[in-house]
Amino acid sequence: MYILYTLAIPLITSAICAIFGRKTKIAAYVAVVGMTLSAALFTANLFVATSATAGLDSFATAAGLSTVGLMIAYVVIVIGTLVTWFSLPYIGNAGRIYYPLLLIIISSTAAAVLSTNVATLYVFLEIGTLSTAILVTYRKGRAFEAATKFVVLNSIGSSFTLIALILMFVNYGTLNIGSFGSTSSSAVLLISLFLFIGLGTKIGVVPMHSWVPDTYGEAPTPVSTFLAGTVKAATAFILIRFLFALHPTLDIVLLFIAVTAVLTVGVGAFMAYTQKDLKRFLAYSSIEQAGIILFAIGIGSSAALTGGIFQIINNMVMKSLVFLCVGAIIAATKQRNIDGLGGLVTKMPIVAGGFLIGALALSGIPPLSGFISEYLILQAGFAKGGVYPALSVALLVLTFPMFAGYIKVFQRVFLTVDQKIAAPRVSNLSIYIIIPIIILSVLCVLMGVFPTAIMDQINKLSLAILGG
Amino acid sequence: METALAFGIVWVICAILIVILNDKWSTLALLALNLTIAAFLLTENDLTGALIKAVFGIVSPIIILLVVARTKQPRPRFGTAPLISMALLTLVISYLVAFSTQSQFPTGRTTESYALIALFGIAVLILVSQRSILKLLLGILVLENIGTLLIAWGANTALLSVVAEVFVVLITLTIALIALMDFAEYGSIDSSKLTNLRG
Repeated sequence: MYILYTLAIPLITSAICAIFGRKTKIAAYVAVVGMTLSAALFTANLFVATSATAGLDSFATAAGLSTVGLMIAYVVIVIGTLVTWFSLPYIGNAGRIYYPLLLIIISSTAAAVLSTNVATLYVFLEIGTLSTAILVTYRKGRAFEAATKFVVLNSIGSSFTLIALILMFVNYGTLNIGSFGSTSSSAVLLISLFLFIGLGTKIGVVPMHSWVPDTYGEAPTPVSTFLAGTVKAATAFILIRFLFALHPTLDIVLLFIAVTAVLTVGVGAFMAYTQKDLKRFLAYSSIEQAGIILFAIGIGSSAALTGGIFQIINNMVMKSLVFLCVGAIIAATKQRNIDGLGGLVTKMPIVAGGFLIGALALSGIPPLSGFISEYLILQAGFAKGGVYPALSVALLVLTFPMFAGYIKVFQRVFLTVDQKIAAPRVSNLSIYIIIPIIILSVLCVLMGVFPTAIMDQINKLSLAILGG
Repeated sequence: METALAFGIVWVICAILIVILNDKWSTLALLALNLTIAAFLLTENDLTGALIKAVFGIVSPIIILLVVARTKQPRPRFGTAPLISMALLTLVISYLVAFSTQSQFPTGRTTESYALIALFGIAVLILVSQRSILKLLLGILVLENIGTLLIAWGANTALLSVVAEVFVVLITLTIALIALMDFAEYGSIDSSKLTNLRG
């Protein structure tokens, strides 16, 4: 029951923020309070509630929501809350649209993850996409160009998704994915491909990835953080849910996804290594991360899905952490060019620590959280046989440039002191910027050192998705 | 079945006319007219339902018209080369699918499938060959209407129908809004001139 409130609170808060209009300071505090309340309620529901109050009521069930994606929705709301805190000092003059749209995106992403009805899913996905398109234009100028690429490519993706969802109904005779039976292989092939192209565009799969660096680069950093860390991973989870609801599952589709995933990792990693702009570097690294998640989907076994879902949750935490660290650097130095920065480790030790933890976790270095999920995925790849071991090796090799990129960026931004370049001025950071970085850093370490609790839940989730 | 087939044929003719005609006003009028006819065809004897669909159908072209008026763009010209490629592509895809699937295409209706494939080919061609944001929007609308066709043929639920139509209007509105912003910033809605960022 409370879950519905946690989704409704950001929407109501969004309306209140819109009412305050130009009184942006008040709107900002209303947004922070609303999101904090939503996250607190969700936490209480998950960890304190009795069995009678946990889960969803009949209204939510009738609206096409289910508890399968509850854990992912929880992470979405928590990261959304941290992003809203971060926005408070970062977005000085927020204007009329910033907070209302940000809260709508957070709420619709969480609702989409919980959706088990194809119509409801499409509604929430599209609300999120169209709100994001407008929010990307927030900084004006070049952001219009980024928004154009985003909205055109994502609308094409949405059209493919819509066709896939309608084809599902045509073939299975129901809107509820839990009730899907079996249909012909040719129908499954077509639906899978449309679904993959549609949702893959939103995830940033190569070759539909060109909007990613432009959008993440030009959107305000808190928005980029939420898009790269959370929306992308949540969409990957939706792809998993809908793809594995189709029967029969086709090996050729899975192989196609696995090959595309390896290509995506390669393009993301190599392009990231060549970037000079911090936000574009992270944008390409998020393409690489999307590839790793997709590879788990492409393997398609229970073990791979467990690794894939863990990687989705990890991506939400790790990617948000590094993006917020970059946001903190931009807020403190007003610079985002890697070559114009240096020696920040002594001036911003918490941010340096956070970035290092996030970068190492994203690179899959033990004992951080990324190691376990990436290890599980690769292990599942080797266990599957056929061409999958070779693809796993290719994936592993292609992640090396990304690791080298993180090391290069950390060394250049935080350690190197170039005498030829004037040291950047560093202003003090607000507590609202520091606290989210500390929370996410701690989560990255805890999820790596004590993975058992979360792994049990993910195991159940992957079995539920595979119908086991 | 007959209604749906008629709707499919009307749509294919409309899409081809959009490509052939070199006039933005005729193109938009055709779209509006076609969507209105479709609204009445799809809802058959339900006047209220037809009116609602007609309103949704007319809103998108009106939005596009307003953007065209405010951005003072030259007439959309598609040229003959894309037209020929479109026709060939449509024929090739239609026959390939027809032979390979032997009438068991997802909806189980081969004739309708041809219309869908033809529309798909036209949409993809517009999206690949055109650079004007409004023409890209037209391509997206044609693509979205494959969904509308499928609803008419095999998934006629009020929920899906309303969802699809509302979002066609919302997508049009959002892209139109961003096209206006682009025009204010760059003096053009030609996407090939937006080259500051290279994804």
